[in-house]
Amino acid sequence: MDIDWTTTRLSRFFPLFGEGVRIEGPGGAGLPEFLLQAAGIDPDYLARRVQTVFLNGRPVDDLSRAEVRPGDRIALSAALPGLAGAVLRRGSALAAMRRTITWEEAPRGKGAAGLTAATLLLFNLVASERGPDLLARGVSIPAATLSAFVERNFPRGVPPGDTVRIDGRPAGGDPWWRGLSPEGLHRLRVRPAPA
Amino acid sequence: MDKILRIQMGAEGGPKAKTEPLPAAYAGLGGRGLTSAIIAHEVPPSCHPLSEDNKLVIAPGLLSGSAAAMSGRISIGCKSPLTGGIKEANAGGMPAQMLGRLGYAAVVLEGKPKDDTLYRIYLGKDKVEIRPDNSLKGLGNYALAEKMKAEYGDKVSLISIGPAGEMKMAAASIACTDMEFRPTRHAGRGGVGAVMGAKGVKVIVVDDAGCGVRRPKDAEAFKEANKKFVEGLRKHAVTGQGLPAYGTNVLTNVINEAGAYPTKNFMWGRFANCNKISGETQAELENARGGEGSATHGCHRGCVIRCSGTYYDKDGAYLTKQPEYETVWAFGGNCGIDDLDAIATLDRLCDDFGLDTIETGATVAVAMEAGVAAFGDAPAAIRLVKEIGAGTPLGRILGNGAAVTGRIYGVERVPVVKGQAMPAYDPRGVQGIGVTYATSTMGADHTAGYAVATNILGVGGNVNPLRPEGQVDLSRNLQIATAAIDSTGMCLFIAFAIMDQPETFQALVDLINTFHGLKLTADDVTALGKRVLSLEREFNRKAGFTQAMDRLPDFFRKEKLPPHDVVFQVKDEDLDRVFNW
Repeated sequence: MDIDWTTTRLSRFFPLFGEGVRIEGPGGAGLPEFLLQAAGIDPDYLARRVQTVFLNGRPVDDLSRAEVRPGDRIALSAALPGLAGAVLRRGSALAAMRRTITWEEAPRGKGAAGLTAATLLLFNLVASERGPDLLARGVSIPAATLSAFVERNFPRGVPPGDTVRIDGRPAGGDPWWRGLSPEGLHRLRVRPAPA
Repeated sequence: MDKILRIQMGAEGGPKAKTEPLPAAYAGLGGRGLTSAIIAHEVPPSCHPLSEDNKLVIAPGLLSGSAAAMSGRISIGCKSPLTGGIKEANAGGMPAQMLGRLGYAAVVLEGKPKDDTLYRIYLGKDKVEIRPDNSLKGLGNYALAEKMKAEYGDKVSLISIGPAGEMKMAAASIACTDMEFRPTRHAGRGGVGAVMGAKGVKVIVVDDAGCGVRRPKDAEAFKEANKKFVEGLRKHAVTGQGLPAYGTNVLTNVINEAGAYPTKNFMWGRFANCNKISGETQAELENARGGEGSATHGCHRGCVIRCSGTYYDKDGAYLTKQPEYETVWAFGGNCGIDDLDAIATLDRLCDDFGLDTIETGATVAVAMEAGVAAFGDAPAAIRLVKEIGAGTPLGRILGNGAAVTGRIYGVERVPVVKGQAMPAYDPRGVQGIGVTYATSTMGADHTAGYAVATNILGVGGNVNPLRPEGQVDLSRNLQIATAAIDSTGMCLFIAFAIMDQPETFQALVDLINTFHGLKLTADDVTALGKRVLSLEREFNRKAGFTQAMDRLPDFFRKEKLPPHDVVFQVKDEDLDRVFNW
């Protein structure tokens, strides 16, 4: 299903990136190239702002050596407080402290040609800075994830001032999200409501 | 800040106060440096923590009461009833600044009353008043604050205990009031509240009326250093943006992603519903609900990071301060609870009863593993914490922490070191933190080795991150650096900015030097950290601590932690090298 949402409060949707959205990029690409092509995150932003990167839950130190494969899970975060925040940082001087979980390049076979699908999670400032652009472009989300998110965050229905269209038709009914298919992926596009 | 106030609670005829000049042996020390020095020199290591021989030392930082930013931390030290070793717990709030302006380097509570009379202490300009007040018995910290406000107004600050401290529970905290006169800032760890309860002191009212701001030796240079320090904090992504926007709970999603988020009493490294309680979700909820200081708020005057906030319930009524990452984890993922309102309620209860949220959350999780309640059952968790506040037989067990509760219920998986519950990072995921948990003088403590990097302080030279033993060296260096920073009384969250920005670190050193007329160097700071740790280690040794206590519980070496399926791998002989310098 395609869901078009205009909202008076875009930040409501940023926590959705903590659940993960599906993106597609060139198979066999390194992380920077993949993120640029699949999510419009340019390498300069990645280098400057994204201080902590996970590939399949493992902190990555050298992005150029990390190649994205089908089904991978990528998470991006800005700099974090605390010792753990420092330890998990990309290229941290304290990297020895998380040695057992650090991502290491390992033979995984040749990357697939064509498009590769991965799950992208954006945390904290990265979600608020890159989220609006991604939401405007549209993101693919597992149906169950989106249904649970909507049910939890909009229990009283579409907020005043917001409009929702599902496959081109205005969403209605009570509760309206029950009309979402529970299977597959939904395409969600969110834009700010005109002032 | 050139004097110490000693109050002998067991004096003949009632408590007696005595002010003395700061002894030379304690000169140049503040915060943890001063509390640990006094405890190490004056308290018999083998004494019972609740006995008359123990002392409760309350010390502001070296710059508290001045115009220096971030200088409002207060350290509280004693022999811990939870660990049996030396303890320093610190908190934000207003008392540190006010004690500094009153000129106190430390307030020391000594002895204990001969009966169960409860006392209140008033500290004002040139005035110390101690009087019995049994009407305060059993009051929660919030009701106590209201009562004190009616008498003294809201321009004073409070250092107080709730019912848990009165009952001398090993998880009892000491509350400090914040800028809104709410008892939300706690010296939480190690049962310091029980020691204050044993001294028979319910509340210390700190009133700095008539006292000016503390003046630096070199006013112009100090002003310039403070300006640079604040600029450095504001321009850094963590202290200037991440922490103000999301608070410390910004860590939830990331630690979970790393597979190091202790879940359901350390059974897993990921909590499936963590996004429901993440800092991002919390900030969005707080912003949507609105209210004064909702998602961004300071805990004391002079804070420029403002990592805290105010948590309002769904009807817009004040519930508690913004729960911190450790609290959200302790009652959240660790108990399998994914409801922020329930977690905020638990935070409020802990603040009111005067309980350490880390210890209490860890204890509830151990009780859940024992079958006392089901993981994820938020109403049951609330009920259990209320049992502690009411002092029921079950509450007395829970209020004495995770180790006691695990022993009584026969639970093997009890995440404690030296009797103190672990914070919110699984040491199998981030093994270097496990080194610090194991070897810290304080018991499992996430703040014992903070992110003050070796490249700034030069403690121990360069460490090769690819060497397995690197984490031992790093833990040592971090513990040294942290002990030094703790001794300044500065908020630890300055660590990132001073780590990344040499000019901000220099501004911090300049702040201290220009204020006190000193010429400290990074080497001096390192030497101070080593001195503090050595004092603490020696106290613990005399209290009966051995190398065998510098270990993690056995299950961390046996049970693989999903999703990375790792166990704690640092060898015992490497742990024993941490304090070789």
